[in-house]
Amino acid sequence: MEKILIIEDNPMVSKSLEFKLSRDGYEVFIAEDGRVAKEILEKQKFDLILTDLMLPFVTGIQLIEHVKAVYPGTPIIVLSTSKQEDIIMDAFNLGVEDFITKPFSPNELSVRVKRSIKSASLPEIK
Amino acid sequence: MNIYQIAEIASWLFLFYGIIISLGYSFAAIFSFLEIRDYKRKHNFQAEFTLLQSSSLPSISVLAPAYNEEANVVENVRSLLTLNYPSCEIVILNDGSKDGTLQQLIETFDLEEKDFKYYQFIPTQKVRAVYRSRNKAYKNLKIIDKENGGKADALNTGINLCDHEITCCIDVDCILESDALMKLVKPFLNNTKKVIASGGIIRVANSCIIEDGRIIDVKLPDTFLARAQIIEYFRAFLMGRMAWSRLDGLLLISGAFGMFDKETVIKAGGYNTDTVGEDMELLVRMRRKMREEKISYNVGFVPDPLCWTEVPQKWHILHRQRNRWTRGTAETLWIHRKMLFNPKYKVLGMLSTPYWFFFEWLAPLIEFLGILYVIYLFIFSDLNPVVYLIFFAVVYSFAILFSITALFFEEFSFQQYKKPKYIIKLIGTILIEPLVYHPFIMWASVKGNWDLYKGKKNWGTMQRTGLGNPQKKK
Amino acid sequence: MEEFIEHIIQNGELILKINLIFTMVFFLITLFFISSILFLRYQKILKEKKLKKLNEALSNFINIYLFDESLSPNDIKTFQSQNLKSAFEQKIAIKTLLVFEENFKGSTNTMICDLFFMWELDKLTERDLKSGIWYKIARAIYVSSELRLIDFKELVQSHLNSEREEVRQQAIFYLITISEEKPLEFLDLIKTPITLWEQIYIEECLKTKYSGPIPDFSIWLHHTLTSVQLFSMKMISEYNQYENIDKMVPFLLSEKEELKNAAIEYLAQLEYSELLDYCKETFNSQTPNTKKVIIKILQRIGNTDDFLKFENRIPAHDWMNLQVFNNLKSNFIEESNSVTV
Repeated sequence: MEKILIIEDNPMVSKSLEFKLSRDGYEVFIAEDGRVAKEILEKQKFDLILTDLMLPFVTGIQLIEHVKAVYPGTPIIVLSTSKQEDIIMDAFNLGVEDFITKPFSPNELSVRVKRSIKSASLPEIK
Repeated sequence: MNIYQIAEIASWLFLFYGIIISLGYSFAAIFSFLEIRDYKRKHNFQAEFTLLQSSSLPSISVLAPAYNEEANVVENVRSLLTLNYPSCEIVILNDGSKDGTLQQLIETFDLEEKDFKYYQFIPTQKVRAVYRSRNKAYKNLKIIDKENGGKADALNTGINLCDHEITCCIDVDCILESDALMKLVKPFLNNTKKVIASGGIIRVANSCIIEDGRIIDVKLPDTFLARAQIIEYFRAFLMGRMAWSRLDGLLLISGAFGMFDKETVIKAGGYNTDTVGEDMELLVRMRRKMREEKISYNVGFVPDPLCWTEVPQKWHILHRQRNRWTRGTAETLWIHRKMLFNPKYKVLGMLSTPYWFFFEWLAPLIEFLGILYVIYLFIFSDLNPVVYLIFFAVVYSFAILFSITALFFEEFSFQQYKKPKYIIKLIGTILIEPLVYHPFIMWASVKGNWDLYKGKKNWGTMQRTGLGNPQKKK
Repeated sequence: MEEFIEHIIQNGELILKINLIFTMVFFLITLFFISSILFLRYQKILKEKKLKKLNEALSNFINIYLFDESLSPNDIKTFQSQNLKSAFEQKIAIKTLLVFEENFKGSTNTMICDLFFMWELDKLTERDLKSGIWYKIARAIYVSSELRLIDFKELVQSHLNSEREEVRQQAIFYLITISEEKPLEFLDLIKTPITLWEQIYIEECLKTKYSGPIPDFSIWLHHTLTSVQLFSMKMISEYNQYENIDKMVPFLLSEKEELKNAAIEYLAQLEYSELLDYCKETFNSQTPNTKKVIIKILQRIGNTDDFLKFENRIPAHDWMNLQVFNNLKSNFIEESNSVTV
């Protein structure tokens, strides 16, 4: 079973995401902030990371940097309300796979998650 | 007249004063309660963060004076740079520090000197240089290096040299919530009248857990001294300024965190460098000026906890701080004595200034006289000890009632101290505070008045010692 | 102790009696407040427990409802009769639904709205709207606009000129949010000036919540409220309605300084070609405030020389504007230097 880590500070949203994605057949882990996420990431590897950008303690950008350094192959999807273009650009420059703006459609999210995991598991063409 | 008659007259006088004070405090409590209730209702819903990115918000210049802050300045500036607001510049005013404050800033932020040309709207000490960063990430940062002139002079320099129309004056080491500017600027925008200033509530940061310049966990300090000040701040802000803001009679916006309309500040003449109470004096002068020019205006007040500051943990430092506050109050009242009981100034003249005169300035002196009088009676009369006991009981019970009311308001509104055991501890502090802490504060005020009386002639030298709040050194 | 008190009451002087009474009163009130503090705490702990339980139940139920498709209408009714009896519970349910509504879009959102009605939460909202208590009304309007409850339009409209600004603001945002066309119709009905804060909010709402055709803002150029006039000029420039330039030009001669300043600023944004000549001709006779506006827009409407020529035209005593000018000049020099490097 593929493992997904969700980093989101609104418990209602993360719970809903967990519900939806576990129905889709993934094993879902939740971290309410960047710091907890880092701790979880030390213990295990994930097949996909879904993160907000506006997070307490460790910002989304810092977290993405961390993940890209430690697990370069793990795809990241950003899920955020952020309208600050420079932050969004920063995220893309760091190589995130996808960007979903809130409000989002859960069905669309589930499709994009599937796609990202699939393309990450393909051998890289050089 | 025999001793008993004198005793009787004095007793009645003290009682009369006591009743006035009690009435004043009771009214303050009622007005605060109304204000807090409104505030709670207002914030029951509504999300305002969506506005954060709007480009229509006015630009703000944040002015932070620094004097011999070598140890913390870099960290403090970093935390200022993370403030969440679409358009603001951070202006650090190095007030002729004798340590490496400037050097630290230059090295950390890769500063370079810039040409500058400016006008002294408000006369100040000489500006030596203006620095900006070569690094684009710090493009909002401006450092002004000037000759030493004290906090008021440093802020005036900032007002002369800053770019934007709204200035926010802060202590460099206070800890701001990340949306503090946003919340403080709201009164400026959401008003049909001209807003000349807005201020907020100051909270005690001691023992709180701070990370990256943000409060992440509010804890109750272990020392009695800090806890007593928390109670005092509750009284001052939740009971005092809350009520004054409802009456539109606010006279003081704390120097630690206040926002001003630059043009009005300049028109009023800027901060007064001849007083140690420059924050209070400025607002009084601005209000007076507006009133005299018959321009209708508003002063905003934001009750959210936006600014946290470290309070003195040592008695002698606290003594120095309170001594200074007393002098500031006395000087401000003296400078603006014409407003006292002057109906022309409406609430300001008939309520605010008399309040400051009788309650803030005169109260410690009367109290001191009262104690002297009791000692006198004790020695020269054979009054029944029950009399002392009863007088003491009434004063003590009122003191704790007042503090408990303030605590109740905190509990009713913000509830920053989440753990139940904190509440028990605070109630304990309230019971001891009138016996230990209060007499000390009273003594510091009396001493402040005495110093003011003695020191009038050698003024300048007293203040040009620099602006650092010595108690904040770690 | 009792003997003492007895003694005072019988033999003591008046002043002591008064003091004693006050002591008692203060002491009693203190006790009252201490018990209220403890009671508030206790209540809060209880409330939080209840809240946690309810929230858990709500979000579980909503998730199943949204993603499991195994619920019958009966289950929804059962949940309602079991968990959403009191006004407090219904309020929490509304809050929870709003969180979902805020984060989701598309069909999920429609389902959330359906659930709102199936749980009959609209009844509470309607009751609040009619309650006459401002904070209830304001919250109810907020809920109505988040969930786009268009049926309440007339009710909300009646609050447009409420005495409380909070209610007025919510009513404005509601009317923009629910409208399909003519989002700013309400401007014709308002009688209180709109503050800058509200103007920013209206603009945000227009951009984020409203998707119909953008109105022609010039209809409000002659509104009775100056703030609405200013707002319409700003919006004309924001939405580049060049066709309205001619209607804005007369404001350059307005008696009201703020209207004139706004006209200069926004006509500059619209790059009105004759503005530079106007500035050149009238600069000397303008007030310092208007001068400031002109200085700030010069680089936009003219070339560098046009800008620099104004340096000598600012009176020597007008420091405020000289400072603004010098700032712009030094920024400009810096920019041109960095270009040549």
